[in-house]
Amino acid sequence: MIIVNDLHKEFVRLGKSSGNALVQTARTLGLMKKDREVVKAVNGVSFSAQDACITGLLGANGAGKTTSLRMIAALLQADKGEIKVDGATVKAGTSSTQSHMGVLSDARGLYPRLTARENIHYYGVLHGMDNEHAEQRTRQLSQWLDMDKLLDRRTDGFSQGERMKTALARALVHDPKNIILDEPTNGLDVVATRALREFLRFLRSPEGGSKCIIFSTHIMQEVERLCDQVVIVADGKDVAHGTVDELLQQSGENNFEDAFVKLAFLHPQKSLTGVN
Amino acid sequence: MKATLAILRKELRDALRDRRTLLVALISSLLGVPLMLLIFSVVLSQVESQEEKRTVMVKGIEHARGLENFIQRQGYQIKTAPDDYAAKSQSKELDQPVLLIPDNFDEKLATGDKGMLEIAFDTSNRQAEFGVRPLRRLLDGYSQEVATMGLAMRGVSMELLQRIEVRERHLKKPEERKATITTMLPMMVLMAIVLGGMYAAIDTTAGERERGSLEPLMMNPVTGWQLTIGKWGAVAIVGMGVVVLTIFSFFPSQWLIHNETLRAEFQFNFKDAMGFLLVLLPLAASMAAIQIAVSLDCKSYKEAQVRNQMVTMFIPFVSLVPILFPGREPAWFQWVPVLSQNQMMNQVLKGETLSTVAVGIAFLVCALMSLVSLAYISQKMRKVVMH
Repeated sequence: MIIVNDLHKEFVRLGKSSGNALVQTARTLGLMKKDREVVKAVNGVSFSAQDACITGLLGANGAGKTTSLRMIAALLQADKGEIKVDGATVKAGTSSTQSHMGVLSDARGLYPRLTARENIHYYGVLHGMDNEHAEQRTRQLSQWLDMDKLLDRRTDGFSQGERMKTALARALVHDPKNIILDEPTNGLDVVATRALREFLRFLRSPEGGSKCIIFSTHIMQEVERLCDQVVIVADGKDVAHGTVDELLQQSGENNFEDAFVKLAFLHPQKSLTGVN
Repeated sequence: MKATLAILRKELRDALRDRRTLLVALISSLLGVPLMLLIFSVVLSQVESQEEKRTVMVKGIEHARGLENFIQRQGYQIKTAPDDYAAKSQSKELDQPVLLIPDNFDEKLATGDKGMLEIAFDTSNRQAEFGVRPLRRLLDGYSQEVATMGLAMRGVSMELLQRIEVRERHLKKPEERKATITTMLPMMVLMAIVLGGMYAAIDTTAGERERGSLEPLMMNPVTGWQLTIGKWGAVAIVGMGVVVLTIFSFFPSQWLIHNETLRAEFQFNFKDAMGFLLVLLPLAASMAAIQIAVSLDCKSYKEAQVRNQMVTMFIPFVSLVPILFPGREPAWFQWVPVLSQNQMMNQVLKGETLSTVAVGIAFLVCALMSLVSLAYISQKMRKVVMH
């Protein structure tokens, strides 16, 4: 179970390009101060994700989904707020909660000179598994993800789908209770997307381990077909929670896309109607 | 410990499957020294062949019968220079300087005037330049003979003319070897060390970040120190492998030397190889730590490469420092990395024994550099992806 409470994160963006070429060169060399600009990437996100439940983080590009997920994965220090994974507080840069989490981030870099098997096995050993256990788990995941033919090829030259499968198997090698996926369907074709959806459903089921799954996306159909619970994120805030049906009801639309647009982009109006 | 070993094994496997890392490591270690020794051997032979040539190329020898006689008495042959000697020297067709004798040379000498001789050579023609020194020596000999003869004719005794005789006495220890040309060698070896591990160091940090595999790696429950030691271990092994290969490439290189002088100077035996290893292995290990530290927060391979090249440039600069201190080298040299290794390698090449203190100091400095770099890396390792 993952509980996220009032997360905040600001970034300072440096070197906004302005001024003539000479000024810019001076800035590059560090002779002049760079322009600074504060960006509020996440500005109060709260939600909880239950076990045996798929929670979708839905939002437009730049809404703050990836930043939130990176904070949950202990890759980024939150300015404010608290994250609890199975009761333990997440501290950025430490490894205490990482063994309970399997993370497929937007950076899905594999080692191109290692085979898929070596890639997966390496992470297993880093999670403290012994060789035999890691090997057995690799075989199991490979069977589930239908990637037996890939296992002994070097990952250099893998297709997007093959890459995603390998990265997913790598993230799940230590059988984590909580699974975080950042836009996992990016760049996948229909067949691969369907297979992934099936696999996530399997992980949610008791046979698959009743996992707590959070995944971010900007694709409506994904959410409609897969999520038990949806959190809509806009401008760094969570603006709506609930199941797909509840959100439809809340917005008074019968099309989920319209519901999303209304909830995500027209939320100031929502509060206005509330006043009325 | 298990995780550290797993990281080390993976990084090593990764490096050994990387063509770029492997190629640079092999080329820098196996090709540099043999090539350098081959070139030196050829150049030295050219110099010596000029000195041994015993021919003099002259234009206008008919105007200097006395000189002709002297040159022949010294066992030299006289060749007449072609008319277009200038063009031929410039086009490197002529590999000797040309002695020019003016028309009135003998007359001037006979009347007691000063005779003028000219040596013509193209300064860009290295072969011809090598021949100038022996020719001058020959002409000095003639000049002295003419002078002595003149005085002897006037009744001055030969004994009086040579009151002082100068002889050289060489004070070097008998086991010590001459090492003039081979002083270039330590720099080549140092460059090989720096280049050899560089690509492995970049690949394991900036390369990993560029590929996007660093962030997933940080999601494993391993500490900064485990990552640091694992990665450093792998790069250091590559670097030290380069050292071992470089040093053992000296042995086959000796067959490439066809010049007797150089062969006498460069007698590299097993004991010397051990001395080199003692000096260089700690440096290679600390170099690996520095290279990882330098590349750590680079976002791309290219950026890391540029930074590492700056480190690489340090080597030739430091190797030049001893030129500023001719003669006895100051004691602080021992404390400067690269400089102290340079010094100790030269001692080994000259056949001297390494001092335990110097080796100890160098080891200490290397250990300190490694430790500082590793502490920095372990602090920073998990933070580089955190923004």
